[in-house]
Amino acid sequence: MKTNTTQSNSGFTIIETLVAITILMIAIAGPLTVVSKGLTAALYARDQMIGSYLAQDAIEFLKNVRDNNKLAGGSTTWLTGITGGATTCSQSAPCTVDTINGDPTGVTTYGIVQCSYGSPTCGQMYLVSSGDLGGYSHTASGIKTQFTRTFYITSSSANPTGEAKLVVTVSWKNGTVPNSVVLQNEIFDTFR
Amino acid sequence: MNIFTPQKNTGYTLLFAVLVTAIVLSVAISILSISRKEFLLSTSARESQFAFYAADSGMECAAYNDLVNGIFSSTTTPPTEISCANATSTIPAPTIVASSTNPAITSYTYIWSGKLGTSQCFSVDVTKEYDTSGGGLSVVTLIGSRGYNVGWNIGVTPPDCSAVNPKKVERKLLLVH
Repeated sequence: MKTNTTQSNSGFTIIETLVAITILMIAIAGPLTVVSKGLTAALYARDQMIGSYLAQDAIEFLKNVRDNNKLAGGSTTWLTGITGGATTCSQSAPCTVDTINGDPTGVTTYGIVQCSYGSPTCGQMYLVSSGDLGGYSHTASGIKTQFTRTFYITSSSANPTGEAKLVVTVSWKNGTVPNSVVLQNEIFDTFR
Repeated sequence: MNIFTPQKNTGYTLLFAVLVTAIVLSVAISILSISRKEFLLSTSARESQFAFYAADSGMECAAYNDLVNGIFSSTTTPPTEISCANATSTIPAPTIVASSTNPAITSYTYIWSGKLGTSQCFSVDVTKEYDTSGGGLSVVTLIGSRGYNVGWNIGVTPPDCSAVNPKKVERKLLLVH
C-alpha cells in the first residue's frame, strides 16, 4: 500500500527560496530605480527653468541698458557700460551682471563687472529673499546657489557700429554633471 | 481518502506580494510620469526662449534697417538683400497689394529669413502701407517676426526656416509704427 510517500509541498527548497528572493529584489529595485531617475529628472527640470529665466533676466537687463543709453544721448554711446569703456565684455574675457544691485541707467553703477576667474564676482550666484528686490545676485549675501552666469558681446563684422550679439551663459551642476543654457540675441543701435 | 486537507490560509503570501509589488510599481510609475511632464515642460520653456530671442533678433534687425537705414522706404528701388546676425539674406521682390476697400492704400510686403547662431532661425515680414487718401502720404509699417529654435533649411533658395523638426517651437513678435 502506498500512503503519503512524497511530501513535495511540505516546504521550500533552496532553489525556490532563491527564485523568490530574486523576484522580490527585482520587484523592489526596479521601482526604486524608476523613482530615483524620476526625482533626478524633476530636479534637472527645476534647474533648467531657473537657468533659462536667469539668462532671460540678463538679456533683458542689458537691453534696458541699451535703451537707457539711447535715450540719454550726448556722449553716451549705445553700448556704454557694456563694452568700450572700463569693461569690455568679450568672449575671452566675459562679464557678469548683477541685475538686482545694478542700475540700467548707469547713474549709480551698471552692475556689470569684468570676469576674472577665481574672483567672487564670477562665481556662484546668491539667492536673496528680502522684500521686493529678492532674486539672484552676485553680492555675497543670502543662500549660495549652484548657478553661475556670464555674458559677452561681439560686434557684427558686417555692421560693426550698429549691431552686436549678446551671448549669456548660465551654468550649473546636477551632482557632478555640468549643465548650461546659452541664450543669444542680436541687438541693434535702435530702441523701441 | 483525502490526506491533503486544504489549508485555509493558502495563497495569502502570494496575494500580499502581488499587492505590495503593484502598489510600489504604481507609485513609481506615477512619479516618473509627473517628472517626465516636468522635464518636457522645462525643455519646451527653454526652447521657447531660444525661439523668442530669435524672433526678437529678426524684429530688431528689420526695425534698425527700416528706421536707421531706411531700406524699405523706396518702392521704386526695393531692397534686394539685408544683413542680420553676420549673414546676408536675399529679399525677394515685394508682394504689392492694393486695398480692396480703399484704393488709396497700397501695401508692399517684404519677406526674408535669417539664421541666428548655429540653429536658431527667424522669418521676418515687413509690410509698408502707403495711404494717400488724406491728401498727403501716411505710412504704416508692420514688422512681423517669427522665431524658431531650429529649422534652418538650406535646401531651398533662398534658405528659410521650413525644416521639419519635432522639437520646433515658434514665437512671433509684431511691431507696428
